[in-house]
Amino acid sequence: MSVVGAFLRRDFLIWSSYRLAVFWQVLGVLLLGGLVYFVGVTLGDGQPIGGRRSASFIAFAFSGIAITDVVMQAMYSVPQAIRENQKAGTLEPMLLTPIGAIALLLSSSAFKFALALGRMLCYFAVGWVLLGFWHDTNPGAVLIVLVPGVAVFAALGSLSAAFVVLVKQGDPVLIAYAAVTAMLSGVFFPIDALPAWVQPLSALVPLTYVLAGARAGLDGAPISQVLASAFLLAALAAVLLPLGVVACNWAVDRAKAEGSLGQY
Amino acid sequence: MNDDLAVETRALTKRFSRRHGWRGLFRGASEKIALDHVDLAIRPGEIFGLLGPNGAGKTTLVKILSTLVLPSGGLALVGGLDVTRHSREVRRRIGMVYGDERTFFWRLSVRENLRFYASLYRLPARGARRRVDELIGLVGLEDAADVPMHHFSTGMKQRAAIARGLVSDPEILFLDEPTRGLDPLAALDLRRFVRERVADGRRAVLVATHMMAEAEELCDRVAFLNQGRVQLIGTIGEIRDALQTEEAHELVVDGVGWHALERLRGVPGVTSVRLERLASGRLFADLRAQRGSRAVPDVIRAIVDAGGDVWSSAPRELSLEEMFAIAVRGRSVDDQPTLGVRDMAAVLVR
Repeated sequence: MSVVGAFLRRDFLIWSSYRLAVFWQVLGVLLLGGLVYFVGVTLGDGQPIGGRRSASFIAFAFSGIAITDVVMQAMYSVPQAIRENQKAGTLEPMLLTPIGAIALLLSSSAFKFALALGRMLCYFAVGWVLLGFWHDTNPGAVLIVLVPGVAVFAALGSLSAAFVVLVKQGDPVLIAYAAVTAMLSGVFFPIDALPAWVQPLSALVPLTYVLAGARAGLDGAPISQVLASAFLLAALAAVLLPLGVVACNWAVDRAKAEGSLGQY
Repeated sequence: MNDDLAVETRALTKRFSRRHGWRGLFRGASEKIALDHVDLAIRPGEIFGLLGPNGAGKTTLVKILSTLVLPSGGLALVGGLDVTRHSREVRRRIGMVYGDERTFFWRLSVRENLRFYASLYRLPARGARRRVDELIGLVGLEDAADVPMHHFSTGMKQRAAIARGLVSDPEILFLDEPTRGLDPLAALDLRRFVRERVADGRRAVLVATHMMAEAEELCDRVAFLNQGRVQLIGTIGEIRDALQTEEAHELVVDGVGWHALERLRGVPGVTSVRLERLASGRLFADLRAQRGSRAVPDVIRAIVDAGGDVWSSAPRELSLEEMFAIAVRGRSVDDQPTLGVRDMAAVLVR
């Protein structure tokens, strides 16, 4: 079995050993979906947001939640996995095997990321089948921004993982960054709704480009229309990913020098 | 360097920097020497014991050899490979058994845990399944193979830890305090298991322990480690010869009083006397005397001259535990001054 496959299998077995795991996952999606739906209905959904065809509040929020969930999991799951393994005492035994530190970090986070992808597909399926959204979707346009977007956030997660390896606690910067990102990037509401002086700050947040590009793709925009966002995200990923790898390797070496790898 | 050795260290040194609180950020770090120029050579097939009190540097040494801690100086070779430059290749060749229970995924069964670790060693799926079944049989966990490990006793977890350490069929197996937390019977059982089933005459086994009995029962050779320095290396017999600066003798005496016997401490060569009154009313004396001295016949003569009777007299072999106390603390277990730690360097066996 491949290393990623082994981690996916391990995490699935642990996750499914909790009797209500699936129930809570489904309930979470249903409750949030239901909340968004009824807020949308109350607001008089059907009024287009930003002049786009299917950009009603419900479609806007559904796509925002689903895509944000995926990219945020790409960011959170690596440091979370490290922290959980530190606390469980399983980090050292895994690092005793010939697997490389980076392969271990990414494989450890694969299952949570896969769950987020599953939730995203649920939101899209509900929107597409039950609510009639996104029938003109251009999957290529969605993927061309989503993939580098995920890479950018995975790189940020790797930087945070390096922090966790060294400091043995969750990264407070990451938590603050995630909150600010969610506020500025237009997850639940369009950026236009922000005060005018705040709106330029949105341009500094990578999630803004991921959401704008992916939503355009969901509305059937051609690839050419999202290329600028895709290039920007790819360039950012090209800078941040090597940094993340270097930081993680450095943190592991530093922890080995300090003898603190197994500490929590 | 000898490529035929399983483990070799030359002047291996580890210093840890310690910063204390916020002040440490500005004042610089203090330094603790965990290992101080350690030289070791362990042969393939050998069971080698690393003995020492808590904080002696045993775990640090094991962690350096297993690539989890980087050395500050010197050289550490495992299977002829430098642990800092070829860490991944070294990790392919070693297995580790922790005394710490918290190293498994407790919601998984031992079979699932072992399959997971087999995958990290990139064993092919079919080979991994066969290996895992084999190991579960080897450690006697067939009946509990599919039970979540949070239902396991400490002894079962230790057996599972041994199985995990053997997943990759390593050339060198490290056991770090393998019987920690086990009751005496379970510990005995585990030691016997390691001796009979884990050591196969080809694999080197390095056991870090602070328990003399463990080393005595398991190891072909041992190294005494104290304050980061190797003080003695040799077989148990050689260690015994080098450390046994005292002889122990047990006497059962009648017809003389407690205080009279206490005065035996003044007999030349006697280092300590421990007295105990037996149910029969006789006195039991555990006598320690300098090795090779005439203390024992002089003591018996003194008792007889004082009108007492010696009902029995038998030499007792000092346990390694007692000798260890002498070596580490520089005094006997009765706190009588005997041999200082510095003196131990003079009796290095090899």
